[in-house]
Amino acid sequence: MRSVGGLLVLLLMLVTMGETVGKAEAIPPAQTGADIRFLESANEVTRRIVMSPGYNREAARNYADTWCRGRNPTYNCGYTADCQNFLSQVLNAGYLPQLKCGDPWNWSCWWFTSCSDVSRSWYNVPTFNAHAQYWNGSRFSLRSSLYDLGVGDPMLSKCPGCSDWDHAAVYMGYGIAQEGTKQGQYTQLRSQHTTDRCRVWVWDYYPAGTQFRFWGVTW
Amino acid sequence: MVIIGAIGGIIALAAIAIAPSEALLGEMKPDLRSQFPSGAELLPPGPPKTPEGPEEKQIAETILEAYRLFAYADMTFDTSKFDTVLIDDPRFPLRSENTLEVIKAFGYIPPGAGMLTYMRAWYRNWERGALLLEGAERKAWTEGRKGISAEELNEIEEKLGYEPVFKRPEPVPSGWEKWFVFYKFDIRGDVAMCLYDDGGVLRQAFLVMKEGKWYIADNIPLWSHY
Repeated sequence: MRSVGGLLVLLLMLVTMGETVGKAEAIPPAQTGADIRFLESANEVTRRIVMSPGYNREAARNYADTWCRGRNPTYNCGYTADCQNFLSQVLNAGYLPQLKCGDPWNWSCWWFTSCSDVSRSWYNVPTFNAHAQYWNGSRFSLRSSLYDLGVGDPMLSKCPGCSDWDHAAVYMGYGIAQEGTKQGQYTQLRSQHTTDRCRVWVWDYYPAGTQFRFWGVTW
Repeated sequence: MVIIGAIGGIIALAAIAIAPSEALLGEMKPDLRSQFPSGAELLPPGPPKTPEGPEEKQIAETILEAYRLFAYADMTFDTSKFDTVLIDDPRFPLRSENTLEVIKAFGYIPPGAGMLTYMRAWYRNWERGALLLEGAERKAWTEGRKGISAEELNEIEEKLGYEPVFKRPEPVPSGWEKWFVFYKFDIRGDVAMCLYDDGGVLRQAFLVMKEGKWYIADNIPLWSHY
């Protein structure tokens, strides 16, 4: 009777905590590397959406401003192109929950524990795009314009002749450009790695033919 | 006897299929990219070079004009004037990494496809995806939703057979020509190679001269850096 009662209480807690959909398990906003839950299996079919304070855009922006020209030793894994790694760090700094699973190539997941335990979606632009599209409507939303973006949102780009999405940057909202063709002017900004740029005009150095994917974080 | 004859016939047919005919050989032209340094050999690009002389200046202007037309197409998907700067030349056939874009656009690879066909395919595919995304977005707004749902996005991708992309939201800003840096011009008769940077990508362009004018026959991205 006690065990049945305990099970009922547990079930009641699960029901009141959220809905059950999808394959990955969302987790509350967490500090870097801490409080990451491990999916039971690749076929896990339930996900608990835990109430969270949401994406902390100010924290994301502060991180981008701190590290746009440097390399945080925790994440300095020696990637030739560091743009997606930087974007993921910014998202993580804003407490976008990590989603850890057993397969680093599974694009529904996104995590960083160490340079040897990291999902491909963390450092690879096309895989991150697949991750964002997988979670379109819950963690992310595809946007058609910069005016629908918030500070700390991802901007992906692709050049003509390039086989896939090949660059990632962070939208930084409005402010004074620190470099580039509109240095000193109040305008829309982005920050990025490879090439490292801090608060450059959002449209600087994107030539004609470039395609974009803007992902608004909706967490 | 009948069986021997049939086997002989099959062998003859196989021999004809394997051995290229003289007519076919006559149509095959060498891929001239191999006669120029490869992309890896061009890195790092070295110091910038200002175009000198009429040939280099015309080559540079052809490349800049191409980007003007790309900028217009970004907003309109109008590729009607691409043939004034781009060309399909058999000496620079469509590279394997670009075939999928052409197949997505036209359903097959047109004979003689090259740079002109590829860039038209790029914008054709872009336009088709953009129109569907815009329609889905309008529908979402009408229904009071903030964005396209996962199901709608997946449906569009399934319908197209590829990932859709929104139209560029704002035109390329004026003054973009200032981003351009030219590094190398290698002119060999009626064929040339130009190493340049468009502000976002270091590129290796191959050009051919036709009736006194240079046209871009291929353009290989070497390093994306934006």
